Amino acid sequence: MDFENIGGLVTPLPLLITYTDGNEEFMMIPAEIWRRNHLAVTKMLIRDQRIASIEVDPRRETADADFSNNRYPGRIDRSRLELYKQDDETRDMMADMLATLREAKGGEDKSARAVPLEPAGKE
Amino acid sequence: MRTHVVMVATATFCIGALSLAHHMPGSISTVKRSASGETIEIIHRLHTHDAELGIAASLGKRSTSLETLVDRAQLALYVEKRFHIAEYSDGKIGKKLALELIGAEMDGEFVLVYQEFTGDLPAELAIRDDILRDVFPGQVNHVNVATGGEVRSVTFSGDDEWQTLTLD
Repeated sequence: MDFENIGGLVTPLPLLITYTDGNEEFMMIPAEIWRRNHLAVTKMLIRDQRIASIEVDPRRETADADFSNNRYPGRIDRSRLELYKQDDETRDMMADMLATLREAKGGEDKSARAVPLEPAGKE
Repeated sequence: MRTHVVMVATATFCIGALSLAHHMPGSISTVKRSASGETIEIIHRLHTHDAELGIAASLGKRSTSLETLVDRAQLALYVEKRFHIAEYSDGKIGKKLALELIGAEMDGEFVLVYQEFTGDLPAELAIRDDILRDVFPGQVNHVNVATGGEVRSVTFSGDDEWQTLTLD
């Protein structure tokens, strides 16, 4: 494994190793690993099982400024927008408000949400 | 002599205050593919204070607060009206893409407005970003399109209308 120090701060390397069978191992490499070369280090890891992925600092313990380059193989993190969409209550309240405001403006566009017009329970 | 010293001190203070009060009015919009790969995400990032002043001026209201849901929704509708992506071919602006308005939320001193487009962006496209430019003449809007390998950028200021981009 090759690690690169992009930001400049010497830090311990907490690693989450996931094996192909789904088992996980957490490992902490002390900051002393940087003592000979503070810009780039290589660590050899020998395990009996095949490793599926390795992630640096999965518990957000270090002062890392960019978590997007901490994983091998790489993965695209979920964006703010996806996290926002996941929160149903916030999203519904916003959708209702957008629909209300659109209608108030003359109803030129009601695409935000289809509001059922029949009262509940009426068949 | 004494007045002279006082005047110099006042002048220095004024210059300091001016440089503090004036950040560049601008917004940054990012267009990129979502992690699931199914949609194109459009995230507009505006200074909260600029956005509040802009919405107040544009709606003719005395004040707005983006802490409230109704004003965040107003801002989202305002942005939706002023940001467009269209097809572009043979030197002509084609059909506007139907961007779905998702919502808006606060992020520290910024406010984020979310839009989404289902499908692929056309290889050649035109973008128009008039966000807050009707309110602040010095507003500079920056759009980053990061759907492919490289990030393509267009900037809107002054009298700019449509800007075109070719994606790979």
